[in-house]
Amino acid sequence: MLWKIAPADVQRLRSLFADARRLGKDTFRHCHKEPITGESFQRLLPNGWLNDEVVNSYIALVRAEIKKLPSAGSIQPSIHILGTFFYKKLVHPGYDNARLYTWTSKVDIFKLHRLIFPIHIHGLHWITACIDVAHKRIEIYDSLHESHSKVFKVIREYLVAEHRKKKGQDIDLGCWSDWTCASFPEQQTSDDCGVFAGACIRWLALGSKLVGDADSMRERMALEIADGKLATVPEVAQTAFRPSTLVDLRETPPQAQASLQALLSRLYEVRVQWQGGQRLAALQTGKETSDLRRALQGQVAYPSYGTTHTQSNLTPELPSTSATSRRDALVLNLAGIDIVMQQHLRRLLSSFESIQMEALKKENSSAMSNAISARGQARAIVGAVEGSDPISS
Amino acid sequence: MADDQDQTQHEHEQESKAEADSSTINVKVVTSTGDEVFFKIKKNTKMSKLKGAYAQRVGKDVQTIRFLYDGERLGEDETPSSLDMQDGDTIDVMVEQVGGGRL
Repeated sequence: MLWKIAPADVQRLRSLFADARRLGKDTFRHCHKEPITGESFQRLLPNGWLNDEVVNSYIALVRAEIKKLPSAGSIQPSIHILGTFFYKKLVHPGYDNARLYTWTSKVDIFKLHRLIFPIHIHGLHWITACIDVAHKRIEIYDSLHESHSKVFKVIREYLVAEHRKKKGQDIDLGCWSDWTCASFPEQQTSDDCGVFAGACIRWLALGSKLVGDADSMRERMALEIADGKLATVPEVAQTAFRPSTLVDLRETPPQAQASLQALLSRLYEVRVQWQGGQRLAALQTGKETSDLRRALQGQVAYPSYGTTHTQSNLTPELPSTSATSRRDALVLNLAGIDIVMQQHLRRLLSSFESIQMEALKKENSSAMSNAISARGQARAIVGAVEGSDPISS
Repeated sequence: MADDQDQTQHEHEQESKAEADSSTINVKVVTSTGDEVFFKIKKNTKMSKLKGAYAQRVGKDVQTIRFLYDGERLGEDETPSSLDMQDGDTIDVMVEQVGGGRL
């Protein structure tokens, strides 16, 4: 899917940039409190170098989308994004002097899936860093493919300091790896790194790829910042699914969709068996689902977008863990599942598990009615995968 | 105007002897290089005003500096009371970051 803007938007962009020029040093927009002046907005024109205001505004839009994810709410979201100044402060004056522990006062970073932040490096270049807590890996995405051994060192020091401060003990980073994304798209100009960094952050956080050439990515970003929200995907927005099942599945590889369905029907099986009195069988199947849940939370392989998406230029191939058993193979097949979808799954699987526990302890009717509502959710998601509702009750 | 500046822009040392006033607060503006400037401001002073005073003090273009509080960018219209700032709190001042890739 290429991000080509509509003809009507071309005209709109023209007037937006005219507004921005007129505003100059005055504020053009606030993206969830992050201000962007007219001059900063104009940096989104071709060949403009993006500044912190553009990058931070865009991050604010991505954050707003994270909050909408189904699991956000009572439990903390699994993705957290810090702004452009975080790394700057980390390098100097350092964790303690810059009181960086206050920057993550609302999250426990060690319970996150990913902590993402842009890095302004050498005073002229934007790259993206991602601390993949779940996989114990520090990742760098650089559209110029430079070497960043110092960055890894600084981030490791951050992890040590944060762990000591928040947990009161040392963290062993021995099994953590440093990883540079070798297949990250390379910028074709000397101006577009900020655009790539913004797109990368969006992709790491939401799984939605911002593809196309750099100039059309700029147009898209400009429209989104002007509108104060990320563009929704029209096809999904038009579907009749309930909001809780709104999932963008267009980029989920067919193979992943298949194993997703297999997983969901297995979950469904648990319920059917339970209701049919085959409790032992249900328990057996339930064991597998909880294994899967753990796998999804911890060891699920990364989206490895394959060659089927050759049209896009922003589809880095991420490493996948190797399959060692049948169960792992099933988990591996989930690779490529949209991060939003993973959030759905996690919620679904944990609700299944808790129902099972509840039902085991006391066979009561409330547990059963919960089970029925969870089954409804499972069906809705399977329906979303196929575009219809395949399971008849 | 001169009166305003007197109220917003005092050195901390000068203020230490001043009697505590519940309607004012001492804040420290710190750069990444560790330079500190102290201000005593009213609790309803807008951040835009503090930023202007700071920029003037250090001789910087107000457009190129950003004020952060606990990592979050401060809005122009926010005040110490709206932010629930405590006496002695620190505001980080950052300078604009611009990047394109290479020269």
